[in-house]
Amino acid sequence: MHVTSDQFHEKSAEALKDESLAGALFVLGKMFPLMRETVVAQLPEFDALRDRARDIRNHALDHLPDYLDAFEKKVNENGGRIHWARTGAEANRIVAKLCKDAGAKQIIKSKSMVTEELELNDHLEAQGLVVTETDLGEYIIQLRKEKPFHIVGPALHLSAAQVSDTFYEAHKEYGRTEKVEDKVKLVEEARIVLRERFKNADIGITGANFLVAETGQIVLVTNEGNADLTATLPKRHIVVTGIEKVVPNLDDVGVLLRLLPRSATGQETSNYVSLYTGPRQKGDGDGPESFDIVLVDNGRSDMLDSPVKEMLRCIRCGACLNSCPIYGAVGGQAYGSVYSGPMGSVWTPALTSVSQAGDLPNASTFCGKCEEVCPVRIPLPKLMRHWREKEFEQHLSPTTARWGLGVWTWLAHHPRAYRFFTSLSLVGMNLMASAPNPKGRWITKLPFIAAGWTNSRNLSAPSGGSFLSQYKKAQKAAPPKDTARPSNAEGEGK
Amino acid sequence: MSTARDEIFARLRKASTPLTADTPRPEPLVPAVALTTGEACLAQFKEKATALACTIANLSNAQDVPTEVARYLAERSLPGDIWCSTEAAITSLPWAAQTELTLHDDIARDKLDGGTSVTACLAAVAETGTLAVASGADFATRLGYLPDTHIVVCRLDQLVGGFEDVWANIRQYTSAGAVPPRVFNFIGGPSRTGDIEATLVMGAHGPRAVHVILVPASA
Repeated sequence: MHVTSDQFHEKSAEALKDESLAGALFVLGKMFPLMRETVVAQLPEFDALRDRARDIRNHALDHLPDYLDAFEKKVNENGGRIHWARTGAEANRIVAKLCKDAGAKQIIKSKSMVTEELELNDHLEAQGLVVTETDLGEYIIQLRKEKPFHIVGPALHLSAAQVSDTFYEAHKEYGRTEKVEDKVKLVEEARIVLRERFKNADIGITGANFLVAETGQIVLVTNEGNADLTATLPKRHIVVTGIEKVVPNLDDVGVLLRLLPRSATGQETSNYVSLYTGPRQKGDGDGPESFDIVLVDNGRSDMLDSPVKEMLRCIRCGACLNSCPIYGAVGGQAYGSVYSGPMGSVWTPALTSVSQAGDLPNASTFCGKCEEVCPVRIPLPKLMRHWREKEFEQHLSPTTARWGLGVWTWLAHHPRAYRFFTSLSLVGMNLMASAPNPKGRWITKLPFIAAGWTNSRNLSAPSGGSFLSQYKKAQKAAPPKDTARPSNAEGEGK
Repeated sequence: MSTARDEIFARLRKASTPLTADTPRPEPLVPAVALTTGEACLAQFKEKATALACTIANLSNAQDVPTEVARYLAERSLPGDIWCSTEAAITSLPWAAQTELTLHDDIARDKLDGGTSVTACLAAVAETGTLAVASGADFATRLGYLPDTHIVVCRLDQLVGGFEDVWANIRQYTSAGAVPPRVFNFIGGPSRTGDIEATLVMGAHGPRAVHVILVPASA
């Protein structure tokens, strides 16, 4: 996986100035959480299901070799084949060979984040194959040669006008002569182009939302129905997915299917939910002749043996992205990785390295909203904190940050110096405060590295002294009575 | 056994610290919304299916299905050409009496594209308002995806509470040592996308309309 996460600072600074992006992010950050809350409120068992989902995923991960083995046996019984890939490169080679052996030229794909992680399209195109993404958002970013903006809505950062420009260029060969910005017309245009690709494709490649050890089936969830066309019309169906996606049985799938669409898009159900068993059976009216599943490790087994192993529970709903104030300000592109937002800040350093992606876990206010909405209760702030510690241990954090922490450590160990320094800062900050503020006064310009704060917003001027001095003052005014206080407080409450 | 498989399994077995001290198989948990029966089940299915933008017709006699299909198509000024699945529940209906309809059996991609299909279903799921269908000799999966209009005939005794009722159907195959059908699809109304500016647009790839015809259980 190629990442440009080391450019997070520059890219996020650019993103903050992009006004059209700000509009898209505002809609995303308001609409999706609101829709999620609405459907969650209608399902009283939602939190109990989340606990169950966490336990199911933990159980599956704790017994991963057993369930993968059971899954493989069932797939073989059902007439499918499993291919194991240690790395992304190995997975790409396996898929390319399957395509070559089939004499394929045209490939259609439905959305798969794992294939984005592997950069499978680039690999297949280098072999002379024509690869077409069929999820509308993926199709748009494929034409624009971009990485997904969001794991669920890959093109949500683009305006209809930008999509129109992209289609105008790409569809000229189909006789398109005018630009349309009407969304219904844009969807129709893509439908017409992609329908022909569906009809002529030799191979369909999909991902998988879940793998069912009990039956050997793979589960696919979409709203467009493109995964089902991809898995049904071509002669061959190839599934590319991660080894961590296996769950023990169908009852577990039931639990996860009640959480995934609600958490992702605020829907009670996705419009198409499908379980694929294998290739076409005797007498079937349609379906592919072969069913190959490429199970990709690519760093996952290492993650299972690491402090961030809980991340492997992830079901890729994107709720953590939608609720994240950082993602909501800079968007997915700044992360420089196919996985963005809080989940991406944990996955990306795990799949690459702290030196390449150590900035991503720093891009968090630790507000905890991501953990609060996670359907499988992944402690995302804790896992991001782990990567921050690694970054510090490996001496990768910037000199200013290390120097600042050093100064703070010294002050924290020297209370007199600490008190002197804080009272000095209070005086200094009050001298700097000028602009009036209904509650007090604003500081509009701070010096040195603190200027980063006041460049884009004001700081409220401190008033009333430090916490320590106020506490002392309060103690002198009303000395506490040892026993009376707690019972008083309780009495007031009732 | 391939080397890659052995290596991956060896690495997975090395990861010894479990995520939880003791991880027993979690017990199944089915929410109340998936456990409705009788009239409540029917009412919930209708409500959820309508919310997914399906249209619904209730017939008191299954023999009236061809008339209802003709009425539905005429009302929308659609041609009377239909492609039917070969399920007994569909082939046994009095199609010949309905002169406005022309039945086709060639399900080639170009023929189905933009047309109207008429199929039965495995179950109607009240939890979600979706229709479960299974592939087989009498049901080609493409019938639910390539046409512009999909008309689904559902007997009231096919109405079920939730996902678990369809799992029971899958387990009938596996417990008998048989391979389940190639695919089980839950179809939740017309195809749609929200990929451009998060605005919902219908008819992304699959059907633009899904019409459910409910017929009595005795049919």
